[in-house]
Amino acid sequence: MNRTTINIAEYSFEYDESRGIITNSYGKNVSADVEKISNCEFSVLVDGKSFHIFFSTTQNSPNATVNNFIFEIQKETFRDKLNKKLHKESVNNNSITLRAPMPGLVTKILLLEGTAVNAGDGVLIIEAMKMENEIKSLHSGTIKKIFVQEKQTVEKNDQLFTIE
Amino acid sequence: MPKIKKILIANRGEIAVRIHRSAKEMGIQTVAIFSDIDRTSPHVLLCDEAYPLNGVLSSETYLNIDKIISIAHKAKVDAIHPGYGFLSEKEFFAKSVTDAGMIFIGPKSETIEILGSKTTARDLLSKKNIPIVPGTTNPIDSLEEATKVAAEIGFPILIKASGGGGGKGMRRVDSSAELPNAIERARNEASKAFSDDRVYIEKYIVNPKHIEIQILADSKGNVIHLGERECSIQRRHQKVVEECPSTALTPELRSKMGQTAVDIAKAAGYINAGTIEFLLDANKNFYFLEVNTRVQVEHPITEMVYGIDIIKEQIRIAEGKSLSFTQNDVKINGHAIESRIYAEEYDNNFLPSTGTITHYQPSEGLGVRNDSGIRVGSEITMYYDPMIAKLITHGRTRDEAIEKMKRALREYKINGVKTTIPFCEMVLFHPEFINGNYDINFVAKHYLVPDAKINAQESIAIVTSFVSQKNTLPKLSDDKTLTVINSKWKNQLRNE
Repeated sequence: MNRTTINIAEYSFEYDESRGIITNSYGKNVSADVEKISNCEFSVLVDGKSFHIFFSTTQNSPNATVNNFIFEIQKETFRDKLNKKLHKESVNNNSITLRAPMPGLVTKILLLEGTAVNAGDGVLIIEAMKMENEIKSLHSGTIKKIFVQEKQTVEKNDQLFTIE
Repeated sequence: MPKIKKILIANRGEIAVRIHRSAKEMGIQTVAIFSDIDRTSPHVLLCDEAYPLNGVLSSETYLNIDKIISIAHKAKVDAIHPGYGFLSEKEFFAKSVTDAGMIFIGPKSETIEILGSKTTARDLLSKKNIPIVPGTTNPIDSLEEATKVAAEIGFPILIKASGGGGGKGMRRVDSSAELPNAIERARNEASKAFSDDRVYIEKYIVNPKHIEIQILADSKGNVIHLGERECSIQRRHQKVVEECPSTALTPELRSKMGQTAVDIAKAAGYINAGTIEFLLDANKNFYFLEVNTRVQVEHPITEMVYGIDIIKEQIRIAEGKSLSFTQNDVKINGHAIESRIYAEEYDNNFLPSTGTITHYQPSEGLGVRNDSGIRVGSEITMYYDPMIAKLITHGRTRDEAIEKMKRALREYKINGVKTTIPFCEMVLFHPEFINGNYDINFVAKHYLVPDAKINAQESIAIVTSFVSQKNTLPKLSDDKTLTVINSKWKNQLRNE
């Protein structure tokens, strides 16, 4: 099966690679006049309307930029869908892991593993571009694990701590 | 004083480029300095000479006075322009420059010391009958003192850094329970940003407008003002959209606030360009906030409206020249707006967005000015301020400046990081911005995450180009395709 589902915001498309056909969620074929300007820049004419589209792969997933708004492009092959379905049943949903919202330096860890927290409590501080940002727990519970240490640099989306 | 022939620009990014431009127009040679990351930044490419600071952290580069003075000696400059941020408001930097026998393009070290510490500034001005916001005139020493002061002036209060501005080290506190944590956080931030952890307390004025007056003062005692800028659109106490003039000021109020600013400059013996910041409440009472003893980020809107190049005036004043115009000569011409373009996540609390700029095409056209310090390939890192460019529009009327800004924001194309452009667009379309009645709580009151909606046609444009991107790119690295290309190339070589 060479079919891929491509989701962009609330729109969903099916791409049949072997036939080179894209269909929308109503099963209708879509087409456009696509002209590549550079690897990341495209001019697209859809029914005569002109769009200037940029692509990047920040945060490890492909993104498209239109009018300075960034849209994540979610791709799912048939196999991905199957894996997701199987995986879902084995995931333990009692613990929540918070990830770094930005790259930066962990300057202070305010609470220890095993401490009880309420939603809104600050757990650690990340400094980036000279601003201190207090990273708060979004949930009440116990800090099960802290993945980082003070003075450690983190990238965006690195695991910070798990609340159970 | 002699004519300046060569200037070292002790800064980076857009302001280094901005200073270079005015200096070149005056026939002055320019010297850039750069950290490891900035080796190919626009200011290095544009300036006549450039020297490495060797390092990445601000403390080992743009804040390192010894390295900067030693480069200035090596390059044989007459003067140093500090720009804004970094060392611009450090009196010991101004002193180091003059002690080294060079001209510091800014006020005297003593003036920076008095005005730069907001507490001594408040002290000086309260004696001169200048209206100031209730609060401490001295840095607070203990939590007990802070609690006592807060109780006297009443919550909400604002904790502010004595050593600098820009929202760093600033915290609003609504109750005594929040006080200890807020003070510690503010001290840490202040210490990192300004190497000075002293903080003071001010009454928090509810719903004011931020109005600041631009002044120019020469060494002969002539002081004039170039009207106001309104900078009430702020997030995290940092300005994002500014305009000149403000809708809130009548000619009478402008003249009154302008005269107060001139009086403040005279009281402090001020020389060079400076900005006096005020809060203006709903009843048109204004309170002195602080003096910025340097060029401001938002100075271009004043330049557009008053037709005066503030950087050139700074240089002329530093050369000892008199102002070439009087208060009566300066006239308002139209309206200007500035949108600051920060590398920040417009849809996620303005968190820093780092990355490499892969496409950059700023807006152009009549009445549009772009002051930027980036190019394709620039790395936006977590080490420096996230502001990457300033977009300024100038129109005959406020409406025209607004329409131009909407057009120019839509035209601006930048890829590789998220920016505040969608946020600025949201501001420009907001009825409260359009009617001019907004205050410094605009973002808190109205900030809705910019609506990243696309229509069906846009989604088709994305999916079709995405699929064609995926289909053309992998083919180049596909083994079969490569073999074909390689063999053709080899065959051609053999034939030659």
